[in-house]
Amino acid sequence: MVDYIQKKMKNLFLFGEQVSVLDIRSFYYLKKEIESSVKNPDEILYATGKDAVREMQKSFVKFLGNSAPLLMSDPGNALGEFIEVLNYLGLGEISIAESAPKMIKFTVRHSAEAQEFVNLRERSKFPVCHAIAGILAGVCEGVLRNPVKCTETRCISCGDDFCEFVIKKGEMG
Amino acid sequence: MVSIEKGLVVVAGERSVLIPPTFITALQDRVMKEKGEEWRKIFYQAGKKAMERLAPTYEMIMLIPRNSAPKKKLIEELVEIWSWMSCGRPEVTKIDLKNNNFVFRLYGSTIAKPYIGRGDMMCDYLAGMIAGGFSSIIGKPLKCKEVRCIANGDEFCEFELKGV
Repeated sequence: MVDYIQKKMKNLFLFGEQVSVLDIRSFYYLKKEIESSVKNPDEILYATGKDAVREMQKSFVKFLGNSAPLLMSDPGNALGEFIEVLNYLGLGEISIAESAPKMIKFTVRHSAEAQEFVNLRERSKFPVCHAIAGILAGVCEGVLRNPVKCTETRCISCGDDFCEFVIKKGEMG
Repeated sequence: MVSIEKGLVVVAGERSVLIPPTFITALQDRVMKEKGEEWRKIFYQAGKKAMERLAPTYEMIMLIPRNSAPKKKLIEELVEIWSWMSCGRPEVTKIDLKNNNFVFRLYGSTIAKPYIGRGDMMCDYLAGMIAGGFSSIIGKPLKCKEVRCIANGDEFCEFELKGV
């Protein structure tokens, strides 16, 4: 799996496209600054996560070449494969906890977006992993080829043991 | 310097995530749409606040005895760590500790690349990071301004740091 990530000199590439490193503390301060400055920070982070993963999926399909159509023809398999890829981006340990015809539930342990809240002992009243929610929505939309909405239902920033995301199939994001 | 395991990426001892550079630029564009030119201050502050706290705690920096090490050495180590961030090749071309004057260059800035042809300076987030990192290392407040940018048609991005 790590073969998807290549290191050339000091640069890192995912599916041949350069990726940058953002430490989780910088991610936290970036979120904080945006939250205190714009009207709908949650929506901005969600939409940005979704856009970013959409671009990644395009590179993934290009990277797979001839084997892409076979993988993408089986949504369950494609979803599992792409979640494995996401696991190597450092977002946390992502797994599919439940998959039903109308719903998919993901769990993320040690979410990179919420971990600094825990480190700083900052308790949030609401889940904070908006970018990861957007990323998971983007992944599901790419695989299922249908609009979805992803809602974070548990978050370590609120004191939960892990973060949980529920995707409702057929709901617009 | 870089460790990638399932669920966990660590760079220079800091837990990190790997992001497509378009994550930052898409975020910038959305903030820009709502706040206009104020986006610059928002991203500068975000970078500055993060690096003020982060730079002194990097493992490589921590290993250097702070009281005896020359500040030039600390700056060079900081830039070496940044070279592993996969966001361009950094270089310090001027270190004037007496007058608190520094020049920092970044070749191939991944933040500026999507804006090539725009005709403007676009690396305010990086400018904030550089200001925060250098200030915390030398122990004096500095401000950083981007004076050249590949998005503005320059060969590289260049940042000037001066004492506040």
